Amino acid sequence: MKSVGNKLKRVAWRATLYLQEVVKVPRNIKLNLNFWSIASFMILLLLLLPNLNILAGLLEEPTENWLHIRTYLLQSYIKNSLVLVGATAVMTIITGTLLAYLVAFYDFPLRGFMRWALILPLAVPPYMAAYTYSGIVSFTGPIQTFLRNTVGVSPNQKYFQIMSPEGAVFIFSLFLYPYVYLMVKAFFEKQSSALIESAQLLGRSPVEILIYTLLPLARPAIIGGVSLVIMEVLNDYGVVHYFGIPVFSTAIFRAWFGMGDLNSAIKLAGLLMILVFATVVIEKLLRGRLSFSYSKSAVRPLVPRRLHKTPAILALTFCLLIFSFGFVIPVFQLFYWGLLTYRSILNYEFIASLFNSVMLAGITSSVIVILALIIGNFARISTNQLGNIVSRIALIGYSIPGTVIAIGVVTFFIQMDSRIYWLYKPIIGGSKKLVLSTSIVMLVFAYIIRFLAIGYNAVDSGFEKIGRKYFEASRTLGANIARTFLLVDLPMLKPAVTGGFILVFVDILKELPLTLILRPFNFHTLATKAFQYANDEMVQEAAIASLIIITVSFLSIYLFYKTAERT
Amino acid sequence: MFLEVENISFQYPNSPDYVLKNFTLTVPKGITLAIWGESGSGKSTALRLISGLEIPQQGRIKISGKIMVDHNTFVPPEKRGIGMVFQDYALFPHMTVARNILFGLNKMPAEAKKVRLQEILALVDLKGFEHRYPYELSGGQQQRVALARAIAPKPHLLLLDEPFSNLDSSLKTKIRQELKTIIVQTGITTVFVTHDREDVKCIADIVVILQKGRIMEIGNPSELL
Repeated sequence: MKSVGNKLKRVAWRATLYLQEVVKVPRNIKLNLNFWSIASFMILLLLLLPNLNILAGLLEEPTENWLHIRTYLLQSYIKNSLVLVGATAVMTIITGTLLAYLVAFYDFPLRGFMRWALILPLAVPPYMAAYTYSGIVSFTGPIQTFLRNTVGVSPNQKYFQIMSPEGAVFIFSLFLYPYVYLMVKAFFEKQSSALIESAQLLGRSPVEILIYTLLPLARPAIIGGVSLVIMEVLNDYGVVHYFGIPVFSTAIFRAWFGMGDLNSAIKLAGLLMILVFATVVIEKLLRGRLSFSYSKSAVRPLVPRRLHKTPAILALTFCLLIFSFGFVIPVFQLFYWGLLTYRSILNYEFIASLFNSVMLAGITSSVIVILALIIGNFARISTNQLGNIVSRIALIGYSIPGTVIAIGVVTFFIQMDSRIYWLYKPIIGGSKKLVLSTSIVMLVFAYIIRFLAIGYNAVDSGFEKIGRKYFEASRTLGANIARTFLLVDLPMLKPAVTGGFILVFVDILKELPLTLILRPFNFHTLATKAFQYANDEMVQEAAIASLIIITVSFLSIYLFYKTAERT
Repeated sequence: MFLEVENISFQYPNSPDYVLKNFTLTVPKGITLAIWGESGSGKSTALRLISGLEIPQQGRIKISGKIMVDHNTFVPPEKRGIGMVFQDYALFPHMTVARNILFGLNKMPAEAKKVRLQEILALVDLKGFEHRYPYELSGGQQQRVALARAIAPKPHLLLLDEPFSNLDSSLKTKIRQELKTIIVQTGITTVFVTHDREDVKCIADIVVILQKGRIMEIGNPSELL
């Protein structure tokens, strides 16, 4: 009897606890229901819908084309995609880590310059590098011309076959390794010299220290960097299309524009999305709890060891070689071609595409920064897990390849157009049914999905830097959330907001697959113009557009490197 | 009673332990009360709950008879009519001394604002510093700006979180005296938390000794410490 009584008591006690929580529900809803939370959820819903559309498409009834693709083509898409991803990953890990190791631990001539010059290949979009390099090694390009006219040799064409999977790996590795380099370098430079010295005292040689101590420690940084490389390779359309390599992104284009089969395009996009999520999951698993960083800023910082003679020359040569191939050579070639072609290029049409690029990038970056501020502020003020979840979701867009987003956005907008046709029918007359889906609104929307993460990261780190204390001080001084945001947070977030704006702006200037698919008819940007010239066998004419984009990227890298060095 | 804290329990998310458990406290009008305890005793959390920067899981807080928080009410910090001085002052770095102080006076007419600003600057002895930025001030001056900013809107209740912990010990004695004088002059009800016995002895009328989220003793500072 006693135990029954106890049980009853316990049940009653639980019930009271539960009731106490239930009673608070209306208060908590009122507390959490404000402009910031509602706007954040609306934004995320809009971002997620098109992507969910794609996953839903996987379950739809397949078409005849799909059966054909699945039987004859899918295997080679998967194989090629995996080969490109795998080989590029290996090459970027080797190049990026080795360069980071040299620059962080050793001192050799020009090291200071190389530290940031080695980031510069990132300023050259891989597809532009692909056009440039295939121009350089082509039959009429400078190398073969030199060999024929000056040396008097006519070499076998097969040695100059860059338009191959190997060529694509060469391009991707050379222009994407900075992702690995940057992360690993930052990690190495944070280490304390005690780490190296203790290993030395234990009788280890520099190579042993690298292999047994530094590389295992740097694993999280390497994985972080290389997963960005993989995302970029899977996102790429320009290189693989130009080199004629059938992979997912080109297949999605073909299914849609070649076969007019949106259904199959969606299915391919769904598969690609699964591949990307697998990468993300693998990255998380590989990193696991490995995010250790032993060093605090208080420890003795690393002093790079001075190299002499041969080792110094070897280190410098390696850095110079990568820097030349990854930046100097293509830029000089483009410059030369630019000089040859600028007269015929700089016409009204070109100016219009320049204007379009700047306008699109400007509009989108502004919108992204505003959305990022709204979500960032919500994530900060929310007192529960919701804020966390929201900020996670805001970041996923960047891992989804452009072609996938494009397909998702198109289907979403076509559905939307037919849903709200009644709304614009009276305004524009009855004939035109597709309004939003034939305007740049759709393109801007897709850019937002893809690049929100870039802007959000910048804004969020700004919020993190200023912390909660000013926000709290302002609240106790009688300012509500909105007033606090405008008068206290926003002025302090200015550097972060500017940074985010610039990063997104540059990324949009460079963007190709989304722009190609979603732009309105006859609408050109610098990127699509370069793409068009290159694919019309007019590589030299693509130079000016490429140079403009590279210069802007260069300036933004310079700006960020310098501000990062100062702080 | 002016401030009534009844049966408050609070734990931070992701933490299994309560920071405060059944915390009850009353403060009469015009009194300066100190909450004294080791770090981690929950004293700063108590201030954050009173100011509305945190929401308790249980309990009720009333300020001059009005419910600030209970199971179905929550008055946000900006509507509680309190002033708070933070441990690291949290002066807005992008605003001058004058603009920091004026921040809480936005509902006042422009003329009244000017008068109030001068009044407050005189009170904390910072005349002539109104156009400086926080980073151009010494620690003691920053502390006085933080105090000036908190009392400028004439709050009913002043909360001070470890007000002297960032000051040199040579400065502390002087600034304690100044703070005491200002509190007496304004007659404002004050709650402050500290881990320093001297702070308590010098400023407080009543002291509450807090240990692991529970009140151990309440009484006269000279008797208890």
